[in-house]
Amino acid sequence: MRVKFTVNGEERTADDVWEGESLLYVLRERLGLPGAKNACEQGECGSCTVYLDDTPVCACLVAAGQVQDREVRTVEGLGSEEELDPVQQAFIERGAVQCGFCTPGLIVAAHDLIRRNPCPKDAEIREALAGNLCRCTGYEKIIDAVHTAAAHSRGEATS
Amino acid sequence: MSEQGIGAALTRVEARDKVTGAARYTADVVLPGMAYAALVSSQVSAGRLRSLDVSAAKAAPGVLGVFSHLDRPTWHRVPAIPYFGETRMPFSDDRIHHAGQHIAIVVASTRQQAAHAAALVKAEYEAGKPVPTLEKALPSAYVAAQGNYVNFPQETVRGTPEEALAGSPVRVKAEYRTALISHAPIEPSVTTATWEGDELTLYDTSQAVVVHRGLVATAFGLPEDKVRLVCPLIGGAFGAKTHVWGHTLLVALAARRLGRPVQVVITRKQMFTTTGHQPPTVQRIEIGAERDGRLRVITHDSTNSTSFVAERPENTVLSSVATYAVPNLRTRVRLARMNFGTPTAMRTPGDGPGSFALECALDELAHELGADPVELRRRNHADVHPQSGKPWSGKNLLECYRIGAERFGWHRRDRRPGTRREGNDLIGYGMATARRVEHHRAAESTVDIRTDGGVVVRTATQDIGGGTLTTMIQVAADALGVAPDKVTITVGDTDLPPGAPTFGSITSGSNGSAVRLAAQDARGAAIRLAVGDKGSPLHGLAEDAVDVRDGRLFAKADPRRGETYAVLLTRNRVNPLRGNGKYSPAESQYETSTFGAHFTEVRIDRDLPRVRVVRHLAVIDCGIVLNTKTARNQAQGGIIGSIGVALMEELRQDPVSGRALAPALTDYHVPVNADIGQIDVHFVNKPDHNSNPLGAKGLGEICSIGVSAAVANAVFNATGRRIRDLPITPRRLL
Amino acid sequence: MDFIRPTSLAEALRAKAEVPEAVPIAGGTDVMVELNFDRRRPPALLDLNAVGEIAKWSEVDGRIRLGAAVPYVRVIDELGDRLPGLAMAARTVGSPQIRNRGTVGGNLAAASPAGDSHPPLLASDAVVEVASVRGTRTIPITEFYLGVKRSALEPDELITAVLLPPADGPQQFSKVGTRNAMVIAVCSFAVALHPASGTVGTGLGSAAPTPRRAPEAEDYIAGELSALWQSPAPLADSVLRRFGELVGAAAQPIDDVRGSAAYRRHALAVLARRTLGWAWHDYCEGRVTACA
Repeated sequence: MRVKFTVNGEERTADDVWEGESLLYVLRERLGLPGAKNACEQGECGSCTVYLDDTPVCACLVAAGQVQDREVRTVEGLGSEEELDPVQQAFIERGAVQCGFCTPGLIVAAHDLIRRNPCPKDAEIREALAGNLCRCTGYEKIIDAVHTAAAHSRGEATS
Repeated sequence: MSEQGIGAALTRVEARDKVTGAARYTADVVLPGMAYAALVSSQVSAGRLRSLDVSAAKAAPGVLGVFSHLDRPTWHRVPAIPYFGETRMPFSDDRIHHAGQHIAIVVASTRQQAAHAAALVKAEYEAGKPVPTLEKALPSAYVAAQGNYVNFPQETVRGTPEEALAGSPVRVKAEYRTALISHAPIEPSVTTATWEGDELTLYDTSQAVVVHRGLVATAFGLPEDKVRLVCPLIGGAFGAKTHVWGHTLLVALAARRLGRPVQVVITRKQMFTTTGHQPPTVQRIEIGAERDGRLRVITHDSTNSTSFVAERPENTVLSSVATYAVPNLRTRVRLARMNFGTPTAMRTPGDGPGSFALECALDELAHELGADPVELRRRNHADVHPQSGKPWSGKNLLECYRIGAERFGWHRRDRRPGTRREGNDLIGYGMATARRVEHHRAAESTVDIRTDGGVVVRTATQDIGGGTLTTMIQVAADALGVAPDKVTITVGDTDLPPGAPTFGSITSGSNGSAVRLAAQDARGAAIRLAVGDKGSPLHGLAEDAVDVRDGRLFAKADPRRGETYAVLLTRNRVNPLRGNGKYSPAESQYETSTFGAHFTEVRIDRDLPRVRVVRHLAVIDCGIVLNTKTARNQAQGGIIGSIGVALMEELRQDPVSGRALAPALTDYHVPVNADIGQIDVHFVNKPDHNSNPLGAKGLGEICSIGVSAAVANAVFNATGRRIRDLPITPRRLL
Repeated sequence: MDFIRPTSLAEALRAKAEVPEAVPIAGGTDVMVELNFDRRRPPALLDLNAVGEIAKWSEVDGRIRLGAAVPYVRVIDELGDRLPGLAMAARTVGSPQIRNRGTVGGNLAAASPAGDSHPPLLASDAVVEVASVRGTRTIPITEFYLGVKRSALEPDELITAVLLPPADGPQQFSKVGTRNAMVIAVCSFAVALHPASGTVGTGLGSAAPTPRRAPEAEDYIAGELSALWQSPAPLADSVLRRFGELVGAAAQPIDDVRGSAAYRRHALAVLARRTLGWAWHDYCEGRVTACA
């Protein structure tokens, strides 16, 4: 089947999509957007987190046909060449990245958290990011990064 | 020597790519005409394949080929192990040694078609009687002969252990068990193979491209220079990508047969069953001590499972051999074969399970003696290596204890177990020592200085997440006297000078030393060029009268006199100026190890009873720290991994078949963000120049050794219950 | 495989009648796992994302009619006051990503004994509304679960809504897992106090082949509370413990990879006594609901 939807502000069409395939497969294998990672295919690791109509979802658990005429935003669609999104910037600055495989999903999840909650507390960050497994970093720097990004988004200078 | 670079909290050089999704991992590499493979797994854990019907799979849409033992693949030779996973080549016969074993590979035009066709392969088995678990395998445990993986003494005797035990006024004796655990990196293993004539290129999630190239070349009977291994970035490994596993060879085989590139991304389930794991262990320890706490003797008997196609002992007993000053000792390691996949190195091989047993036993001794656990360890500090008698190249363990106890507030610990409460919570403190032998590997690197002042480091190591790209740049920048942002690095390709593997905490010390030597070579050549060049303001100076900072060479006596690398090289038309570095570890008069001390606070919901690590402090002595930002982060990750090992990680097996019951992240639980309390890391940060020219030692392993024991000891302090089996689940505490 | 994308309930029911083997998909959190792992290949997927009728909740005749395709996140955000027990359970489902997509309807359709919505639905006497081209019927929650992953749903039927009374007293939910998030319940428990009728509802998860109530525990505690509803006073520890024991006794758990039967029974008793304690405390404090 053919699936037409908007990805990162651009209308895209994927042809010969198998009806049972996931949004993640379409993004990675058909549209050349490998930012969202494939790591468990059962919604357990969060590496494939993308926005679907402004809601973060596991792309591996969305059927391709379900995104018809809807909007998807991936990590590639956050920030721009010239200016990174504050979340991306904060992850770099705070050293919240190690192997980086979980990072694209974490960036989207953190981005969503800050939109909903401009001043998240530690516990809220931990809860909001609980669906994004990271096996390298130990999470502390990730929490620092979210605080930094939130402060930046509120227009505060950070140390 | 300039101070630029080393130790700075430099931001990761590849971080921008990783946060924007631009970073390319092995699965993201798409080659023209690439086909996709899926592997078919055995459903039984022992026996033979009676038949394998691949007709439906072959007829499925998009399928290009299906291969199995029926195609009689002709492997040239079994690669020398270590670092090839198993002694049996994949598909070499119809025998089944474990559930999940690859029995066929299906290649199709798309990933989906391959996965679907793989599900259509019908296997019939002549099921054998499996040895399902370590428990069932124990009666046939044996001491392995030296060779292959069996590369450390399986039995050690020091002094007269039996006599010493008999004469010890205080004795403790216990049996400890660690679970079958899995690396569970977020990135699954991936291989893409492509042939041009007789030349093979592999894009592979490899922790050691240089070592693995040789193994693949052996399997296919190719000269090494006909095989190229490329590993762009690794999404975590922890040992799972230390060895060449069957899928890598099978994909290369399929690609050759089909004459086109083939990629396989193995499934999460296959990650659990076919890329190794840390085997379960049963360890018996007996300690004899004086009443003042001085150790007289330790005996440590350890058995771990291995598969029927590899012998892989865990060097758990090294903890007892090399940690404390004890005059009498007996250790023995035995293997017990079970029908499960082959075990492999997992952070931290040997010392992870070994330190759990030893450090818990020491806590039991402290309790028996009424002694403070830190004091007991101080009293038995090994001033020299207890087995060889050689001096340490550098050791600051006593400082780790001192700093740790102070920063943690160890004095607040109540010696009487089960006495501290807050509401429903029981509170306990525990600690443990960490010690890890530092390994060295030969490594090479080049460092090029270009006429534009830029620097390029080339070395075939790889970044598995630890920050190697960044730290190697810092080392080069420091040695050259340039700003780190002038330096770029290329790794992960066997076309580069052979670098060190990224496992066993080797990279920083060994590969770092190679990079440093190369940078020093380039710097020296530039200085020689300048002092011999009439056009240079430095002409005529002695070489050692010249220093370099911020990319500018200058006279030490008159810093205004000088010029930049860029000006010097441009004028002399040298582009690039190449420095070569070759690090070969020499026989040393020293013993080199990393050290540390862990302190942990647990709170336990009394009724349920669930353990939470609310506070953990590690004080680590790993020589000079190359990058405080990446190091702290890496150490915290290692600690959390080990908290997982202490409290939740276990790949449980079916007691009858031995199969993994739930090989998925839904049930193999690793800690999530919401589980983690405050994790603090302090580095002693003193260079160990007796160890290597750089003075840096490995961090990847030492940070996680002893954590599980510290947690178990804290649980005892909180409850009075001694849990000797990992993980410490509520069921065990009930 | 077909991908059927109805835009109304009538259309969806017609499609389900025509192809009863079509697998309904809303949040995809269960169905897609099966597809990704090639565990099943149904002839068709029936996408419910565009069926507006089941994607909303409303108050009808004093009851909340919660559309089957309302995601957990909306239960948490919008119904925390009226359905506090269910909202608490919804908060423990998977991760934010899963809660953004997963639905109570999907949880019911899967009928896994470990599903997080079941205990609060049981404790509140929910009724499941199902429909087909043959018409609409309602199934009391206690009659809905037939066995492990089996329900009373007929092949041509779709779950359209769940009906439950708004809380008339404090409700609580608690769940035990090996870690603090992203866990399938080792066991779970919900309690709902009904001061108006002088009764207490319970629901047990991962405690038997199907989610179930603990009738003896309910009867016992109703008796103990009968004199206290009008003049609330703290409950004796022995009463809470007895309640816990009876809940534990109502369980028929198994040993599996997530926990042992003995541990489950013990933990259920602890959860029961704690949640009842919290709910009763709220009642004594005059707080009708406890969910923030």
